[in-house]
Amino acid sequence: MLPTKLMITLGVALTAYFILILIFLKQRAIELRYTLLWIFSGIIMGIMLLFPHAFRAFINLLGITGTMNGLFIFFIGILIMICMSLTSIVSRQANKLRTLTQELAILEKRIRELEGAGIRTISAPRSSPDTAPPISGNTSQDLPDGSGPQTQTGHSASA
Amino acid sequence: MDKRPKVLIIIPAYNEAENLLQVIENIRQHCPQWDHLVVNDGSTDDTEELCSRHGICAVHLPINLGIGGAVQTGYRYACKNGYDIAVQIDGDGQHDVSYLDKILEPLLDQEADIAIGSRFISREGFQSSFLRRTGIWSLSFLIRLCTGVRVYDVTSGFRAVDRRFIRIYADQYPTDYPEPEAIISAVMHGGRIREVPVVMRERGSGSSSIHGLRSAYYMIKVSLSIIICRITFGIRR
Repeated sequence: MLPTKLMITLGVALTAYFILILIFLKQRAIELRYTLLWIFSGIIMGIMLLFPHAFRAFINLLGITGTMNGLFIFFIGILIMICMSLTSIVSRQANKLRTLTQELAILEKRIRELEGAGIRTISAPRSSPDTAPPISGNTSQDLPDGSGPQTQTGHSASA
Repeated sequence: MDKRPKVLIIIPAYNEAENLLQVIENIRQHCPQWDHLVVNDGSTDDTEELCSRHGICAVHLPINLGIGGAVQTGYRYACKNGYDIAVQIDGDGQHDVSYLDKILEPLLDQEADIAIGSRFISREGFQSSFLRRTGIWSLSFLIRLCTGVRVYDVTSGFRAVDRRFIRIYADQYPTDYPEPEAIISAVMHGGRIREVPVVMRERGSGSSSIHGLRSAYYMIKVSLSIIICRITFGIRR
């Protein structure tokens, strides 16, 4: 059985915890899907508080002696889980960021080429800017001589 | 194959302005028929300016992604632009582009999907220090243990891949110190790997990114990643 004082402390802490999550969600400071684990652990903590006997039986089952020990181990477990999910979120975002950076750089090159081609086309008297290579399609096919992109960049550099 | 294949030479470069021009000159001299792409990995020196001044075909990454991210950018570009073969070479001038034909040969003859330029077959040219060779040998042994495929120069960044692997690498390429991991990934995707003897030079200027404590980190990280990479691919092979 948990001491009454401790139960009150934990109860107050848990309420504050949920209010904090709600405030964050309301301000859209965190996305709902990232708070799911937080909410889930909050609910488990609530159940523990409301049914201390069940919690006691549970930690006995795991072979943990002492209620406080059980509480600590339990919370550390939750924290580790949250840390792992954070690592996974960071990794996924790093992956997305890498893809974005790469795509951005490739696009930037394409724009450079098109601008170079545009300038070249404007300066040529026989054609209009409309005949500049179309946006779609691949780079080297757009080139009149088909000799690959570096020719294009060469033009844009000299333009 | 009835028409000439489209070949892209990928040159990842991070603060290699001093060596880069020489590398590009070599390419223009030895293999003008193929396209090249410098991937400027967020360099802080004047690589970008150098590229535009000399009309070098380059992609400039706005932030530093590391060698893996830079090489992957090249594969992504090759994939988007329909290249048949992509060759990666280092931007530090270690790799002699006159060997490019030899490296491309197994791919053009469709005898291999991936060709790796190896300095340990003919044992000529720059061979690296004893400690590094031991490290490379143990990684090679580990890869053989995990996949059954013997690759001698596992850290060589001089390699050519065909269209299928351009797509695979464009989609997924390991990040820091990617070369050995890329080999595992290739084997696991059923790629046929062929090592081609090449002679490498000592790097032009600057120093290797792996030294001192980093070498320990490198060995641990790469060994672990090889094992993990093997496990995550499961029993496909």
